[in-house]
Amino acid sequence: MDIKALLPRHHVLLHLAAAPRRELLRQLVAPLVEDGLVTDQEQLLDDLEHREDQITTQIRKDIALPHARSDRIRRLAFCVGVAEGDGLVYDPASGPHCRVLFLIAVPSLAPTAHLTLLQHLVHFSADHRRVLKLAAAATPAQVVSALAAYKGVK
Amino acid sequence: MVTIIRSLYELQELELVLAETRILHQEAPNTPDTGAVEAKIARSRAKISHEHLRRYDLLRRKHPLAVVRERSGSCSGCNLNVPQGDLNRMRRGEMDWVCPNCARFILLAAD
Repeated sequence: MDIKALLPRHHVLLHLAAAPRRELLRQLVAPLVEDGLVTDQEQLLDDLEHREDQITTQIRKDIALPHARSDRIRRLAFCVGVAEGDGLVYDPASGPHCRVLFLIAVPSLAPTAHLTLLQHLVHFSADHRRVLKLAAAATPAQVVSALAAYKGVK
Repeated sequence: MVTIIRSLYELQELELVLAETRILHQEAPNTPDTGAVEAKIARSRAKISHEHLRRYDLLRRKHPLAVVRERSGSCSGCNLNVPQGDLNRMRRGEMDWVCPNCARFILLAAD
């Protein structure tokens, strides 16, 4: 998985502060909107919230992978958010310590394009040490390097 | 036909959500209850005719997607052009909304 091709440094947001879920998603989506990959931010936010309402995408207390298919996305896009401090509330049922958010925007025309990336990120997150390293990154470049260094399950 | 294709598209969407959930929570200690999504899938299937469901399930076994979108006259499943005459016949209800190249159900773009 070529993470570097999918994740330019400006798609990494550090020091995310606690906020309502929609605001967190809005911050994560912002770089995609700036890059012109998303044509309607509010529609994408609605799609992300709808997907979240169907079943949570928070997989552990410290990791969430919000994603949605939408007509408003030009191509598969990926953003990472790292929370400040001990983390924040993403899914209230999972507690207040969500530290890393991987947001994936999936174009409706290729609705399964993200499954490989999802699988890769779930395997990455399975090792708590890798997540801690990511959460402790001081720069976006360190986040990209930490993710790119993981080559996945053979 | 548009109602059938939309129902199949919604069913496929729900099945994709279930597949995503299985990927997401495969190594998680607490798997969320997927009952609500499974119930929606069952309700969705109950609304679709046996004939269309059988064809849908066959396609899903063969391809990741059984229902795909038309974009600018092309099928987004096989990326081949759908003849304009076929698109016109589909829109007039004289032909099933099925890609003549790959046989997937095709959701026509709104004009």
